Amino acid sequence: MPTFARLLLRSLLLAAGLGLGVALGGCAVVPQNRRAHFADPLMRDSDDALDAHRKRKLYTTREAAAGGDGKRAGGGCSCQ
Amino acid sequence: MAAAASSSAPTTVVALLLLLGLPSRAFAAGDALDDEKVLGARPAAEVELVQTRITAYDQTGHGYQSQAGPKAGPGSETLHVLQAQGEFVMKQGENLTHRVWVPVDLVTSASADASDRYYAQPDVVSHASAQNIAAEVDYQLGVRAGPETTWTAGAGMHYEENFLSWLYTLEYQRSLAEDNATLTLSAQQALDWFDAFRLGGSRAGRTSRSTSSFNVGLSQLLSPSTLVALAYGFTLQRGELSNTWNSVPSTDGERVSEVLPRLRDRHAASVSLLQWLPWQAALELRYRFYRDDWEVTAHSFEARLRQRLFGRLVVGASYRHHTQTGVFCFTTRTPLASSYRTADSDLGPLDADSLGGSAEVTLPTRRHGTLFLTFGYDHYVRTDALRVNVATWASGLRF
Repeated sequence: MPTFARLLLRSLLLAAGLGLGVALGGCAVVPQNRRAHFADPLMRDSDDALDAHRKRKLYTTREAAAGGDGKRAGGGCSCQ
Repeated sequence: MAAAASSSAPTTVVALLLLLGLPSRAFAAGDALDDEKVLGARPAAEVELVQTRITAYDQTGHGYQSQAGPKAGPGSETLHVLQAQGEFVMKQGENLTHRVWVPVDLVTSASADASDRYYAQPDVVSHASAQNIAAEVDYQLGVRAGPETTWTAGAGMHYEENFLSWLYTLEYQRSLAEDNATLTLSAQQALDWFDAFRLGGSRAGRTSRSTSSFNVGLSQLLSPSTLVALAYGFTLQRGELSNTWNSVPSTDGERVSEVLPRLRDRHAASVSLLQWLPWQAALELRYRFYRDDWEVTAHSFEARLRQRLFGRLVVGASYRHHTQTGVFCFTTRTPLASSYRTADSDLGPLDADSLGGSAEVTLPTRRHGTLFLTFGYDHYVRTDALRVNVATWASGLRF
């Protein structure tokens, strides 16, 4: 497939994903007074930054699938 | 009676006005009694978090890219890393957050040797004996631009023996629908500048690599106990994408240098679900799909359970499975005429499993926030017999 067509297809997919995301974001389904569980540290949706870094280092330097997770890919070890 | 009633009317009106006026005066006084008057003046800067983490990686395995073994066979991938990290987060006023993060890695590896940079050839040929030190400094500034919007900008620098990196990041975060959803857009740029090596270990000047990443993520509350998150990321890499010291066994029984394309674009999408469980526990499930133009397709699935015990102890268990196809030019015996080739075991087809556990204790203090102590262990094993044991220990104060 020509490069331009591929870029266009990716852009359209990205735009569709964004649109879906914003549409989902428009649904206020949980009022503020019913969010007590989300204030609990057990419900952190990710590790703390240092734990996330050491896990990312374990996986991204030993697998061929780094990037795309909201963190930078590359930098540091040049094993990839 | 009528006269009495008429004379009491103004009094009643005044009384009513006073009754109506008093609460309004009280509210007015309440307005003046803001947080600052009740709690005292807020300090100009407050520390939110101080923590350190030590992680030890112990790896064994063999890969055909390594020269620490038979000429035509796989060489050692034995590796030990001791990684220290420090993090400091400070809030300045209502709208600014500063974060400083410093990771330092002490590495023994089968790669280039830092200790003989000027006086001898690097240790790319013989055995896994070198010791390297890698250090990084990252700074991030978060600015709350409005009740629903936060911007974060960051910069960092990474240094390790033959390698320098400059890192930049910019992130936009906006909460939507009364904080039911959060949209995050981010971009990162890394510039790597490093020595190139010939197969025999001598240096061949400097080379470089650029990595640009663009990411979009959305999290959405689905119920009072369920959160779902979607993410997509695109990464474009240009420049020297080999580490330059990897080798490939050739069909004539010798070894030749790894050669990789100078361009790579990567796509990854993930979905994760976080569920509160009524027995003081939380379950997180995550699936990630990855594809790039080097013909790698990967699927990763991760499950994590955290359970609170005795109020201040949280134990966790996690499992991850990863499967990937190899890059188009992966081989363990290359013809000499090939344009691209690699024998790097990380770039070959493989499955990987990781099993881990953790425990965290939190201890509130009278004046210095909450002290936390964390211990974790992970065992990582690949189908090509590479194994990594990881032990990690963290401690710090949350204010």
